Amino acid sequence: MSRADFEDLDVEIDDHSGKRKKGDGNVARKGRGHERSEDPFHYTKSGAFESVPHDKEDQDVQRCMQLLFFLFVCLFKTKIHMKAVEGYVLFVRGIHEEAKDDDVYEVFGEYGHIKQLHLNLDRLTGFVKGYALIEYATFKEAKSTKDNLDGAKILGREITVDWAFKKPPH
Amino acid sequence: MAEQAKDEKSPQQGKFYLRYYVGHHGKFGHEFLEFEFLEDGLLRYANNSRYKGHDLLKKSVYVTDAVLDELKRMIDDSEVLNEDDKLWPEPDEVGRQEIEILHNGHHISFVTTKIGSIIDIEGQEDAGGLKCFYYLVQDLKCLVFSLISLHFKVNFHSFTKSNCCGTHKKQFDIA
Repeated sequence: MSRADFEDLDVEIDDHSGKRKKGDGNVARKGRGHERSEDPFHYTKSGAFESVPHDKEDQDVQRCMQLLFFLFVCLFKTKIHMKAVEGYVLFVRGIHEEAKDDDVYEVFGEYGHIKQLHLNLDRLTGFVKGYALIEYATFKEAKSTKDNLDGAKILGREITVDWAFKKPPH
Repeated sequence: MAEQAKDEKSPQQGKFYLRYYVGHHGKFGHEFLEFEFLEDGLLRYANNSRYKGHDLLKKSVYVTDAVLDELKRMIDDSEVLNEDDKLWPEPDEVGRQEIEILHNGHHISFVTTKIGSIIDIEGQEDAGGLKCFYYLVQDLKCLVFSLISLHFKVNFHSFTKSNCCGTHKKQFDIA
C-alpha cells in the first residue's frame, strides 16, 4: 500500500511538510490528533511488512499449477481464502455472549480437529465478545466446517462462519 | 439488498480506516505497538520492544469482510465516535496513545496518555469517555493479537507483559 491509498481516505498528508491537511469531504471531524503537526508515529505506513507467501508448496509444482489456478480463480472466484502459517482459520460471528469454550468446541470439533480456538472476551462485561477464531490444520476440514455451520445455531443464536484471511486483492 | 443499501450511502460514509498507536520512550528506547485496518482488509501490525531482546516486528495480512464487519460492530457498540478528547490527559513521559477511526461519516483522531488500568481513569474529568476508549482499545488489541498470532504463530505473551488480553485460549494438541 502506498500513500496514494491512504490519501484516498480523506486523510491527506502534505508532501513537503508531512503535515496533515483537512480533507474536504463531508466527514465529521473530531479530536486533537487532527491538528497536531508532529506526526512521527505512523510506523505502519513505512517499510516492509512480513507476510505469509500465498502458497508455500513445492515451487515447481506451483509454477505448473499457476496458470490452472489463475483460470480457476477467474472462472469461479471462489478461492479467495488465505492459508495461515500452519493452517486455515475461520472467523465465526454472532456467538452467544454466555457461550463457553466447550460449547464452541463441541460444535466445531465435529467437522475436523481444532488446532486452536480463540474465544475472546469483552473486557468490560467479561462475557464472550461475540466472535471466535478457529484454526484447522487442513483446508478440507475448514471448508467442510464453513459449509456445514454457516447459519447454524449455538445456544439458540444464529452464527455466521467465514474465512478470517484472504489473499491480497489485485 | 445489502448491496443496494451500500450504493445509497454517500462515498464518504462507506469509507473505513482504523489506526491505534501506543508507545513511550524509555530505557529500552522507543517501544511501541501500532496497528491499522484499511478498507480493503489490509491489517498492518508493528511492535517494537527491546524487552528481552526482541526487535521490531512488522506483519501484514489481509482480513475478510467478516472481520471488518465485526470490527465496525465493536466500534459502533462502544460509541467511541460520540466521544471527544478535549478533556483527556495530554500525552506525557509515561507514554502516548493515538486512535484514528474513519467510519460512518465520522473521523476521529484522539490523542492521550497511556492508561495503565481502569483505576487511572477514576477521578478524571471525562472518566466516561476515557472508559469507553479504554475498553474499546482492550477489545481491539484482543482481536488483533488473535488475528496476528493465528496467522503468523507469534507468541505475544513472551514480550508484551501488559498486553495480555482476557481471552480463553486453548491449545488442542494432537494426541
